[in-house]
Amino acid sequence: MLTQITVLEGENQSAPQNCGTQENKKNSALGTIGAKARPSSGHSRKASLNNFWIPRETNVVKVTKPEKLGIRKLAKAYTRSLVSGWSTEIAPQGSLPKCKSLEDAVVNEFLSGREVKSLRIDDSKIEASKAFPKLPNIDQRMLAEEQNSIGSRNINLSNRDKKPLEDNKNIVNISQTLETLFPGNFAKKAIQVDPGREMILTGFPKNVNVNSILGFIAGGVIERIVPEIVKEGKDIVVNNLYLCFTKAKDAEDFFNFSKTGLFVVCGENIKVRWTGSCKYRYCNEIPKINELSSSFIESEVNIGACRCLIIKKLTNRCQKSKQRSAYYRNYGISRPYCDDFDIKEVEKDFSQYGEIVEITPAISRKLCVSIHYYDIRSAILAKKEKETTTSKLHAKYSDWAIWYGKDPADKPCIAL
Amino acid sequence: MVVYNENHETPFSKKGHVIYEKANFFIDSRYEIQRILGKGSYGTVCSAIDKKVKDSTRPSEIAIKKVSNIFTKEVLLKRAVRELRLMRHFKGHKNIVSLIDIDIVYIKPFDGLYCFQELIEYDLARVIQSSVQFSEFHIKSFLYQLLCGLKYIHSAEVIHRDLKPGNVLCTMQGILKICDFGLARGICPSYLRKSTSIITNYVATRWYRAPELILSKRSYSKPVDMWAIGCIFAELYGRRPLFIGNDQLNQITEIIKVLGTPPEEAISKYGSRMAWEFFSPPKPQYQAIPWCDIYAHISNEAADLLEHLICWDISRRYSVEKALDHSFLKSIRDTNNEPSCKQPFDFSFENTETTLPDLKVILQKEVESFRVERSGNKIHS
Repeated sequence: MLTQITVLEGENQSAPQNCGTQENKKNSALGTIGAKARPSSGHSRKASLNNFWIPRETNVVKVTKPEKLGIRKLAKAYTRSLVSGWSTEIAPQGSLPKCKSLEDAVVNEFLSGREVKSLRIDDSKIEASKAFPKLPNIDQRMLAEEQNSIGSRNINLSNRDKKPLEDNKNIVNISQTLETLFPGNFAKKAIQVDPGREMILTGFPKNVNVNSILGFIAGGVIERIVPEIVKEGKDIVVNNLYLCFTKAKDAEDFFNFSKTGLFVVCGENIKVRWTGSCKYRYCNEIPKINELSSSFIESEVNIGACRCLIIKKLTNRCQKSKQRSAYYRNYGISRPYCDDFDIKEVEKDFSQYGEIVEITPAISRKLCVSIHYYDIRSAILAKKEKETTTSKLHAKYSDWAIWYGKDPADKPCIAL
Repeated sequence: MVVYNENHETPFSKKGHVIYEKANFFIDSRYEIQRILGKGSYGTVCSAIDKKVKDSTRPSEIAIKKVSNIFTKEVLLKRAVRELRLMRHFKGHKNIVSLIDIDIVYIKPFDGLYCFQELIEYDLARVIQSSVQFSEFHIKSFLYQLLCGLKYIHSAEVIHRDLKPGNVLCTMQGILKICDFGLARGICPSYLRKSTSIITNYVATRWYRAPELILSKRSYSKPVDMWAIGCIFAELYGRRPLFIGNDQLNQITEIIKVLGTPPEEAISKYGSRMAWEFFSPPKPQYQAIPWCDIYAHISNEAADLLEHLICWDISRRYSVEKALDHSFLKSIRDTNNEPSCKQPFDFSFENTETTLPDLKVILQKEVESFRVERSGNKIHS
């Protein structure tokens, strides 16, 4: 039975706002907002900062002396821009830089504090931002994201690449301190934000299931895939597919690839956009997965863990002599064939560690199959369980070897 | 008449292209040829590395197929156009090989259509002949994937006409992809010219050729692909081709040895004197051999399916949908993952464009629109 997950279209739209301050901060800190087009409330201080930055980068290059830009300077420049009167559409009067809440105040503190260095405007970034067309209002910008994929982000991801599956250390620290100061949702939200690894794929044709789609994904190791499936009469349609890579760089590669005409599933161009927030979604929660420590997962990923497990039977029981047909000589050549292998049994045993996308027959001299999970943690857990000498799985599959295969998506994206 | 401008290319007028002498390839310098994978009457296939993809740990490997002699023979050019169109039509099915790029070269001896495709480790012929261990699950999965791919092809009213293990690629993880649409063609009646609907019978590699292609002068259709699927299915059990005929007639003899002499009604359906002469006494009469006597490991369900794929009578032969519905595949089937093509394949160009220059124009247009589409822009036609 396919679990039906309600599609929260609204959630996706609003995700960038809900996702807390970290992302906004990060983006403004890196000065790449020009590349972003986000639905903005106009109420929050952070959003207004973002909006403020777009025209500045695209039009006013004068103020770009490499100097430390504090929040006050930003505010000053912002009011100046209001006087000149051309950015009113984006940031109405109501969103003048005022610290409306404690949260905002914290953000300001944060901005004028440690991350302020990265607020320096880099010439190359301005060049890059010039490439994006100046767009008068938000709606058009959103439209442009759909059409021109301006949504691609130019965040410096070098830090993240080194430690997949982990948020930026700095930020975790900050949110911890924030949490001690202001217990509540705010800090927790900040931890969850991880804008650069997860994206959402939409626009699938009918009768195309997850494993069909997966074959066309490239870039790198996938951390997890979460489909949202709806029933349309007899047909089942994959409505949305959340796709999360282990590395932000890979995610970005794939995102760029998806905008070319090469990413086609059954004749349809699939739309891909960033989710913004990285809420932990999971089809069927397996409690044991949560017991895995994040450091263990991380170390496994570093040694090449992926969603795909390969199991291979070590003993080769081949009934060469026993089973021969009457016309054996004429129509058959003796080649290894395993008679007593039940795929259902394997599926049952291994699906207790998480939902399986598919099991494929691997090409090997010994009996060998490849198990593809939805989530990398399932594979890590299953392998760990198989390698634990006291486990049931170990006992049952004692004459089987197990290792991580290659994620079919772990191939470079085709360049145009 | 359309005058085609050849631009008077010289080997050095195509910017950034290099020559690979061993295979007479003339390709973009971003690709570095690794080795020749195969040669055939159609042309040559090489493996190459795309140097534009800068990834030191995972080089981007591709296969380049050069279809040669297309500018001298109309029929070959027509096939090249057809193949290119079909590959574009079937873009994005997991069991059909995908086209990455296309190039066209007019300078001799490098002239031809260059198809850049994903590189896949094995083909099914190699897998079958090697000592790879199979289980019923392997065979089921392979057959299922073949049928999924074929369903997509047939749903576009296209027959492949050259299905054989050599034309099915196989990844290390056992994903099959149908390739080589050089002999495929559309059969959608709305695109057929009204008066003439004769299509050549000399298709398919002999061992996988359906009996109606040999015995009948009548028009054939999708069942010829189902016969070939049956032959591949049997080969997965026997690990060698089922009917190894030395020539056309010997091929029929090989089939008779297994299926037995066909009943009279089946013979009459071929509608040819040749068929009557071939099967009727005094020619030796054969009895059918049960499939379980031929293959030791075959289950009853598999034997039943095989019986409905490899049979004399075309009306009894399963369609791809019926084969997918068979109980043999029930355990691994995912009915939500068997897409059909949205629209039938349009091959009306074959009726209007028949001369070499006309076809050249079409091919050039195809290549150009493919490149536009590939860059992610929509074509407004």
